[in-house]
Amino acid sequence: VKPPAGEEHLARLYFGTDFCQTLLPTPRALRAALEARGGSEAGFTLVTPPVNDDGLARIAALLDVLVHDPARTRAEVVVNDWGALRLVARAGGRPRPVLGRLMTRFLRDPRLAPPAPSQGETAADTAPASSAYGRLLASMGVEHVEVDSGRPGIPVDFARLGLRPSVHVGWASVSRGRVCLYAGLAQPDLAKFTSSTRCRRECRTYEAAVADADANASTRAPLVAAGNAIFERHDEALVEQALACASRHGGRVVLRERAFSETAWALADLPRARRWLDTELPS
Amino acid sequence: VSAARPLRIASPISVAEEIDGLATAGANELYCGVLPRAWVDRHGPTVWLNRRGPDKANLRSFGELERLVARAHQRGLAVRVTLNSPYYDERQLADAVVVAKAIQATGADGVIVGDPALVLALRDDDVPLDVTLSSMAAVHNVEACRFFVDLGVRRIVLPRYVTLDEIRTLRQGLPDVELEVFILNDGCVYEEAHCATTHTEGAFCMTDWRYDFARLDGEALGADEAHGLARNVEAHKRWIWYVTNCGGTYTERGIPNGPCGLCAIAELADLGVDCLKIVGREAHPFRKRRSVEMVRAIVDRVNDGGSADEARAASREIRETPEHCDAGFMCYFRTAPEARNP
Repeated sequence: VKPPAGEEHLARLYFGTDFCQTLLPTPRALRAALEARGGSEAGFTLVTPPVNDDGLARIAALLDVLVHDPARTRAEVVVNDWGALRLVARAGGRPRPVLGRLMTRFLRDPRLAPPAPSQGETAADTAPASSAYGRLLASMGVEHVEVDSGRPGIPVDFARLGLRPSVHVGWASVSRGRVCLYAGLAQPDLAKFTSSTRCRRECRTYEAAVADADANASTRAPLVAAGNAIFERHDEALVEQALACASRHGGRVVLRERAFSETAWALADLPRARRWLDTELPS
Repeated sequence: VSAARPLRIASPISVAEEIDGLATAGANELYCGVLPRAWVDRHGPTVWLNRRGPDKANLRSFGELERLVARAHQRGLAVRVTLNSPYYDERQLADAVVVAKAIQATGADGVIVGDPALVLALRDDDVPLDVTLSSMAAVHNVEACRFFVDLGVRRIVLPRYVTLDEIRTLRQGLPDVELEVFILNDGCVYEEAHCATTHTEGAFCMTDWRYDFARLDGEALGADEAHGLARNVEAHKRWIWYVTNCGGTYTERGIPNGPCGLCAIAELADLGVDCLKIVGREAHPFRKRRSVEMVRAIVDRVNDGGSADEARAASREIRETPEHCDAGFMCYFRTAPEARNP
C-alpha cells in the first residue's frame, strides 16, 4: 500500500503491529522507518501490542527514539495495553498516545448480522460509554481511538468520549491470543501453543483463509488466520461503514496491505481517501 | 517452599446448596454471578451482565444472593460477585452500578470487574465494595496493574497463559496487590479480553476450521511446507480439545479433565500468589466439588512442606491421566522448553 501519489504529506505512516509482542521493532528498525518517511511532512504512528514487562521495556526503548526524533510533535504511539498507555502518557504528549483497536471493545463477530441501514452505525450498544471514562483518557492525553469496521457496526460514542476515530479498512480483527497458530510450526509438540513459544516469525511467510468446515454453517464471511489473530475481510458495506464513521466523527482511515502487515498508511482527507481506497484496497 | 501468604482457593458457585460441599472440599472463597430479571427485561437475554449467560451459571435474584452470602459467611467463606462483562454501554453501565449497590446490600465481600469504565464508576459513586480486576482486563505488566490499582482495585486475576516468570516479575513489582491465577478448567483459545465474538452464537474458537494456507510471497507451497502446516493444524486441534476440557470428559473416578495448573502450585506459592481460581460457575456441582478437592489436596501438601517435585508427582497421581499430563497441552503453566533454556 502506498500513500496517494503526490500527496504523501497528507498521509501518516503506521509502523508496528497491534497484536504480537514478538514483532515489536528494534530501535534500529524504528529509526530506519522514521528515515523511510524521508523529508516529507508525513506523520508517524508507532503501533504497539499488548505486552508483558519485557515488552514494556522494549516499548520504553522505542519511545526514547521517538522522543528524540525531530518530528516528535507529530508522532503518535498506538497502545493496546494499559501499562503502555501510562508509559506514553508520561512523555507529556510528544509523542501522543492513541487508544488501540484491542482497547476499544465491541462485538465484531462475523457470525452476527449487520445492522439494518435504518439503524445507523450505533444500532447496537455503544461502548465504551461513560463520560468519566472519557475524562480519564483525556487526562492521559488520548484524543484518538483506533477502531475496526466490523459487524454489527462501530458502536462507539466518540462524541461522549471526546475522541476521534482512526478506522481501519480492509480487515476487522475478530479474535487475538497470546498463543499463536504459526509460532509452533518449527517446534516439537511440547513446545507448541504456549505464550512463551519461541517463533521464527512464520507469520511473515504464511497466512490462511479459514472457513467453517461445516457446509451448513450460518456464516460464510471471508476470514483470515494471520499471525496470532483472526480477521474478517471487509466487503464493500464494511468499507463504506468505515468511511462513513471517519467522515461523521472527524476521523481518518487506515489502510494496510495485509491483515498482519507491519506498515500502513492513514489519511484524514476523506474525499482523497475514497479515491485512494479505490486504487489501493487489495482486491 | 516459603509462601509469604497462605494460598487461598476460589471456587465457582451457582446455588447456595453447594456451599457446604465446597466448604468441606476446602474452598476458601466463592465467586458467583447474579442475573436479576430486571436486567434481562431492560437489556434482553443476549446482553449478559457477566461472563456467563442466563442459564445455569447465575443466581436469579438479590434475595438468593443474600441467602448465599449469609450461609457462606457462616462457613467462613468470602463471596465475590462477577460484574465482568468486557464492556457495558451507557445504559448498561448505569444499571451495573445499581446492581453493584444491590450486591453490596446483600453483604457480599466484593465484585469482580473487567471494564475500566465500571471500575471508575464504582469509585466515583463511592460504592463500598472491594474490587477485584477480572482477567478480562488483560493486564500482563506492572504498569498496567498499577493503572487499575490507582483506580481502587485491590486484587488482580491474571489472564490465562501468564507464565511463571511473568508472575514473578508482577509479584516483585506489586508487593501490595493480591494476585489470583487460573488453576483448573475451562481454557480459552484466544485471549478472552481480546476476542470480539459472543458466546451467545456458540464458542467461535471451537469452530472446526478448514485452513487454506498460502505463502505471502506468492510462491506455491512446497510439499514439505504443506505437510508441516497440516501437521501443525492437527496439533492445534488437539490443543483446542485439551483447552476445552478434553471434550468435557471425566476419568472413571469422576476427575474432570481439562486445563490444569496443579503441578505448578508449589511454585505459585513460592512466587507469592494469593489465590487459585477454579473456573466453571455453570458446571455440575459434582465437578466444582471435585475440582476444589483436587486443588486442596495439593495446596495442603505444599503447606505441609512438600517439595515442588512431590507436589508435581501428587498432581499426576490425582489426575489419573498421565497420558494427558505428558501431552502437555492440558497445562495452564506449561513453559516452552526453548524459553526455559534459551
